[in-house]
Amino acid sequence: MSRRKTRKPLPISRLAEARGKEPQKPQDVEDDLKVPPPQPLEDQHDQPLSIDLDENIELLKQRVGASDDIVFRNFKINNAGELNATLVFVDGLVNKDQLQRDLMGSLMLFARQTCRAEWSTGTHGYDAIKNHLLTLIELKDVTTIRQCVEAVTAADALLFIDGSKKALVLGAKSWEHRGISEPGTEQVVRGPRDGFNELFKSNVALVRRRIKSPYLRVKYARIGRRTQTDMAIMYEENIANPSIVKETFRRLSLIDVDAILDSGYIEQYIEDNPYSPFPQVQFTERPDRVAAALLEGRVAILVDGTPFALLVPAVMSNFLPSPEDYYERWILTSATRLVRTLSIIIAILLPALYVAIVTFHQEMIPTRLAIAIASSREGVPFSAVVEALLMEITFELLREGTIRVPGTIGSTIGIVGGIIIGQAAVSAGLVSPLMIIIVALTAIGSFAIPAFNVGLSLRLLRFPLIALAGSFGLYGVFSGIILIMLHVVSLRSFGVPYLAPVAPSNLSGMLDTVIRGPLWALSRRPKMFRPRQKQRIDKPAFIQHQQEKGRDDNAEGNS
Amino acid sequence: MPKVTVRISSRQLMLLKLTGITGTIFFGAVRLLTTMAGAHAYLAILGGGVASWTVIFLATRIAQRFPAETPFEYAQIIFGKWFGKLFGFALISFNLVAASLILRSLGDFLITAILPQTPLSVNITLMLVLICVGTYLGLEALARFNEAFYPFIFLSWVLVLAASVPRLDFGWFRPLFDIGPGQLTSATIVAGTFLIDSLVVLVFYPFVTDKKVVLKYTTWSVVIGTILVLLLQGAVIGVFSPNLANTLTFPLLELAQDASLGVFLERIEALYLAIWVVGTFIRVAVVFYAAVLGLAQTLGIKDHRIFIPLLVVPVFYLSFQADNVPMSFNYDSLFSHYGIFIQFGFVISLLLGAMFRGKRGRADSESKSV
Repeated sequence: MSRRKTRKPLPISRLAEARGKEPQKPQDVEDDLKVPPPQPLEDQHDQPLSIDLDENIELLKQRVGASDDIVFRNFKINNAGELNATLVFVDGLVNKDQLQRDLMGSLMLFARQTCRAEWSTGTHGYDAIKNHLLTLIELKDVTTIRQCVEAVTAADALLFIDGSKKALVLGAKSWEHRGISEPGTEQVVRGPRDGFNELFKSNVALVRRRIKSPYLRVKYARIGRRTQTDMAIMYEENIANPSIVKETFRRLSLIDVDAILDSGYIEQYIEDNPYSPFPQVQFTERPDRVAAALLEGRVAILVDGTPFALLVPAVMSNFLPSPEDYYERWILTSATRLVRTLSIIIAILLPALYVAIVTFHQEMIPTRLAIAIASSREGVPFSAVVEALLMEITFELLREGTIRVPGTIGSTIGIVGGIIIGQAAVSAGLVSPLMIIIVALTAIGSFAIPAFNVGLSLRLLRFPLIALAGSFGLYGVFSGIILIMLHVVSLRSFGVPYLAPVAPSNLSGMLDTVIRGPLWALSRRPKMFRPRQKQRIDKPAFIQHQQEKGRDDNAEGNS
Repeated sequence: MPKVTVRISSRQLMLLKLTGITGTIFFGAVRLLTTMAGAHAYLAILGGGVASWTVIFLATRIAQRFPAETPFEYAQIIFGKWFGKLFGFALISFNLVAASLILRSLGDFLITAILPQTPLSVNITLMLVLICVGTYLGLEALARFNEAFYPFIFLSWVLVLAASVPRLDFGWFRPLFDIGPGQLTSATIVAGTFLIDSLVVLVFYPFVTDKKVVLKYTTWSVVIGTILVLLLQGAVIGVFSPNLANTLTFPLLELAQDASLGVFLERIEALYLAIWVVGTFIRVAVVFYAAVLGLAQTLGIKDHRIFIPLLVVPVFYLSFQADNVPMSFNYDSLFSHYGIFIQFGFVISLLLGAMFRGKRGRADSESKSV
């Protein structure tokens, strides 16, 4: 580590000035930050629209097939020339009220009042309708049949006017959706209650509402050949490292698949090491968490149709905190974090340690406890390792069963698990009561980790560790730990070392890992994400307050 | 995957060196020093610290002349192609022997202390598998692993020391300075070997990003290492008396075994053992990595990883040269008597060769790619 140069924080008055001096981006950078549109499904012949309305409609019907949910509404525009027109849309995906009011109403009832005589021909009429009659906000011209098909399948309404070689795409998307509710996977005691829903634009807005910075960048893209899924890539331009942003776009642009049905698909395509049990992309349902990540210089990917946003890069220390860690006072939070760290250690190590000690290192246990363990294991026919594997697998079965069973009969599983397996297995002499305690503690430990996918991967790693413990004792356990640690330290997420800021170590970053330092002490953004602006706060308010207080105290003392 | 650039910081280098010193101290060092110098081992350790710092200083000097190359590469510049390659092979052999000796010590230790019924070959094979994985992942992973884990190794020694304080008897150190010069010199040489680990500096210098502070950090590592070894040696003498300590096979293990933290956490030595095993792993993996990297660079091949299976075989073979534990202790002691001279020989011949022939390396690039 080189000795860090102490950088004097800029006063707020000079911040804007400093920002103004930032070098202008060359144009080609902007080109890198694009995800190319997905390849069309089949290479169908594309052709420009004809001047004849019926021909266009016939062509469109051929392309989108005989689907009953696609509505073709023929009507006459009530201007001087009585132009024929057809409105095409997918039933259920457009706002019919809006179309009725702003489109049908204007064109069928009020056109004659607004229109002049020379607007009655096809081409002139088209422009007049677009500029003077339609009171919709989103309007776009399309000129080829492929664009028309894309617009209809993407839930836009399409207006064909006789005599024009162009068609109008009307943005009136609207469908039934879930309201904004509390996120199910990341509940907090203290903190905002709103969570993402399945509409990506409203999700983007939820984040945008929290960050009113002009540097917040949102880029839309489409992905998936068949699903044509919309997504938004968000980053804070003067914080996020350009190389990370560029890498995100690069990886997204390489995805060429049939379907993206959830952000989980994208996660699996862009992660660094697909063979690792550890997640390298974070997901969240919480807009406040996305906002916090953006302000740390990370990139968020919001996908239409799912409430789960992706955050990259994601390192180990990102999975430990719960969002409310930053809303509660730091001493309490630090204590909670220590408990969580303990829960990780328990989740991964406890059964293995128990097996190792009971099988190989009985001398390690204090004598009275050793006698207690020995007497509790007296009637058990299995070795400790078999017993442990048996109970762990039973627990995994129970856990999976509880998730899959319909809610109304869920309590049955509780009875089966708690009474029959727990109680009866012990009294039948199959397992020792101590083992039940160990397994229960392990389960609780793995559920105390805020990111449940990390808990899942740790639970997976427990099994090889138990096997190693059964064959080599503590030497085996620690060999397993060495292997896991070696894997973790060599892992990267978008180029960021997975175990940062512990290894490679960064002292100011470590304040926000196992403990959570006071907010005023976290004045630097996490160094591992290489942010463009390193300083988060210019002068910690608390320190300023203390200094002023000290000055006052001195003054009082002197007088 | 693009070509990976290996970068470590001087602090990581310091920690690697510290693990080199204190990660394996529990094997032979304390026993050997106790039998050689008894209560006066602390003098030998101080002398050894100074001697090893001198060699490390010289190693840093030669490394500074060739900031972008490893000794395997610049040996060929200094001595010419063929003699340079020969020099490289000598360095590699030294590392292989060192790796196999530590590995054997670990095997002996495990059999004696915690796993009496597991065959030696099984223990050593398991460790070799881990070492291969570590070497495959490379220096960066090892350095980070060590960085994350070194605090635990350090803490284990501090706990052992703290727990032994109430049982210290300073009477065992008297009379002071009652040791013959010959005895002291040979003990100093042995202590120097345990404290030196100069090849880490020599081989890994080009991978360090902040080269200006390397000497500072390596000096710190020698100072901290020397103090830690000094205190541990002192604790062994102070608790057990020189005569009793002489008869112990693993004095530090005994020290840890007697220690208890509070009332209910007694006999936690197996936990210490586990931590020390990790330290040993890092040490052997680093030495083995240096050998593998050296072979690749001596032969001019870009990817070092293909040599891992090739070099595992001699390490495995060499670690079974001793027929029993006393014989392996003998080999250890033999190696400890010459280790510092051999390392000094490597360093000084490189330095003198470079100075007389006026060779210098390429300008410092930020870091080295492998």
